[in-house]
Amino acid sequence: MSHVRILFMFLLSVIGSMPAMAEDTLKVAVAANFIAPFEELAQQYETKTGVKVEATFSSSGKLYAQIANGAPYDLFLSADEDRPRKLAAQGLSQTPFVYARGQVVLWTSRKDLFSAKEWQSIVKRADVAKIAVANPETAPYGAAAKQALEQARLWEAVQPRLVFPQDIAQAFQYAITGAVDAGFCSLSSAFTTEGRMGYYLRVPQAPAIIQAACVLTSSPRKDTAAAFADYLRSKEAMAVIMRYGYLK
Amino acid sequence: MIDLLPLYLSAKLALVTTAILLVIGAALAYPLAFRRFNGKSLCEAFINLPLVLPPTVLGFFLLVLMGPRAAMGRAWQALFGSGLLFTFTALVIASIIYSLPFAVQPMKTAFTRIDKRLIENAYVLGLSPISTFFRVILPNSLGGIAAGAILVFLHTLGEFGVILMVGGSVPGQTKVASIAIYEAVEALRYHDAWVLSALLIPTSYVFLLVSNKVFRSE
Amino acid sequence: MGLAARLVLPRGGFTIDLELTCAPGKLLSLIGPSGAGKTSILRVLAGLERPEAGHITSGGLTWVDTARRICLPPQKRHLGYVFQEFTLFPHLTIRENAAFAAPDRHSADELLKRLKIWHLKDARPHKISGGERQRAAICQALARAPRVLLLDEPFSALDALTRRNLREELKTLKTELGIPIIHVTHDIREALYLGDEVLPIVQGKVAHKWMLQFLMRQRLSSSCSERIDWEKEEDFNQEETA
Repeated sequence: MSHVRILFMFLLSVIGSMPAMAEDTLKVAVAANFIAPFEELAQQYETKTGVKVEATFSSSGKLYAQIANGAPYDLFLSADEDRPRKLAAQGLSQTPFVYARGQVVLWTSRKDLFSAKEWQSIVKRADVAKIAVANPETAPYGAAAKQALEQARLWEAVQPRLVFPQDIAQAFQYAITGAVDAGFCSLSSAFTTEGRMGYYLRVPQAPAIIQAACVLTSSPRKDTAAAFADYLRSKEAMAVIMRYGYLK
Repeated sequence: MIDLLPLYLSAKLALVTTAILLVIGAALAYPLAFRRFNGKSLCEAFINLPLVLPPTVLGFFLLVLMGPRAAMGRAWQALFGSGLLFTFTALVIASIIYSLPFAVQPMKTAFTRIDKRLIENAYVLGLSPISTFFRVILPNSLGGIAAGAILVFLHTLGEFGVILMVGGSVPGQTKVASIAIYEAVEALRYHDAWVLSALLIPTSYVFLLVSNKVFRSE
Repeated sequence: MGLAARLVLPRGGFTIDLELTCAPGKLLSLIGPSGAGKTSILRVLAGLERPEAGHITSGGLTWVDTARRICLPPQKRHLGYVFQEFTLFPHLTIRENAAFAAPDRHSADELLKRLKIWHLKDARPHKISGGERQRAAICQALARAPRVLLLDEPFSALDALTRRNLREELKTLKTELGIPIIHVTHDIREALYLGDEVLPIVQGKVAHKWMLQFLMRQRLSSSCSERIDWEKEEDFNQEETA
């Protein structure tokens, strides 16, 4: 047999032997900021019911675009309310429900700022040269941070010092590596191991980030999905979610 | 009215990077083509690293390197009073590293293609190695130089992953076309995304035309 | 004063080890089978290669003295070198090529006219014939009034008629120039015709005995082919003759 044929057969057998997905595995599209709590919830759920939950983490914007173009998910956990609402309006999903509420905080790794009492005082300092705000157009946490800055009449003044990471995870990454002096991040990131090594201040002027989820109408296992959706709203799930810095 | 500033930034970044890389590329290609030395293949492999590293990996590496905690970032801060990250200069540095092999390889190939006797004749006729480089080697390597210039320009125009990491999408400074298109898609502004993408094509085309004119051999 | 050289240079299977001299206005022909080291000798004279040991002077100036660690680079030796091909720079016209190292355009132009290729002055090397290219190469080499002229099989790639014409030119030039000329060729008749002295080189050493035997064989054979059958030379002794 020629080498080419052997290689071809090998490739075919590798591709052909991909493990078949269990009928019951739930495919969930999850906003990137919710990775940590979701992994625990999925684990808990599988232990409880034996149903496997498989998650894809990405930005809400990308997930929305994929779903709108037919991606085969069963559930969508967005970082905002807007996108699930849009999907429902197009008939692509069932009625959305709120599963968590996020909070914007200002987080910094700079030890000399650990004594600040108010987030505005950090932002006003001239030696805070770079501040990260997740892209307000696409990241709900960024939009909330912008609102807070506008309310505090700091938005215009702070423009030259702003840096716009694509999402809240990147904002946090910039903040922990010290690339920015401070970043508007989610409360949940402040609760992580890296987060605990820094200092955060609440931003009350920022509206709570209402994160909504929905079961997709294209799902071939809507009942299983609905069961998981109920679980997300249960007391035990909420306890987990709150431990990660979310509110309900 | 759609914001065309990102397009201008992309073109500017590509032009600056190409100009600088043509010089750096020639400087690196020369010893690789004409000198034998210990660790030569190691050097070449190092230069070719950006080809195999995923852009986000390279971007993350540069983020740390140019950040205020690493030597380079701190030196910059000390020299200029402000950080290096999230500036146009940071993009230029990132682009230079990202596209380095695209400049070095074609030039090295063009240099090695030159018959050794031409260079030896230049020496015999009294030219120093530097004069020989400018009066004999370069004029006979225009094909390779053009190839390098085109590759670097186009590669930089399309650069995304690295810029995503070290750019910070600052409007007017680091929000280049590729980032703007990405954000437009994320924000569901598909029309803007289409327009910017479509405009990138004539930008590339104009550059191709110009470089063909400049470097085309008779 | 002329050129005087003594050099030792290891090569693949043998070592080049010889002495040669060439007075101003004279032409020294080096002949021998390919691979004998003739080109290497020229390269050492030109400064493109360093001998293991050697002493080379030209017009009283020391170019190489390995004992005293002297080895002038080619740039400082002020010579002319004509290769078999790839002497001319492809990106320049004939006129620009000739004037490349010349002190002024005038001397280059004069040479172009002298060698009858003035009408090609604006052409590019690849557009003209092989013979015309070699004429241009000679102009380029001579335009800066070199102290020594080296020719490495300059006419080998040309047809018989062109070769003959160029040979004539060279013979006339020889007397006019008044500098030592070292000429490498595998054509023994050319060597004998042009050379005031002929040095046969086999495996890096001067081999007069080989030459004599070879000539005698030639006289005995009836064919007059230009190309010479070199395979037979290994029958001969490599012994040096003074």
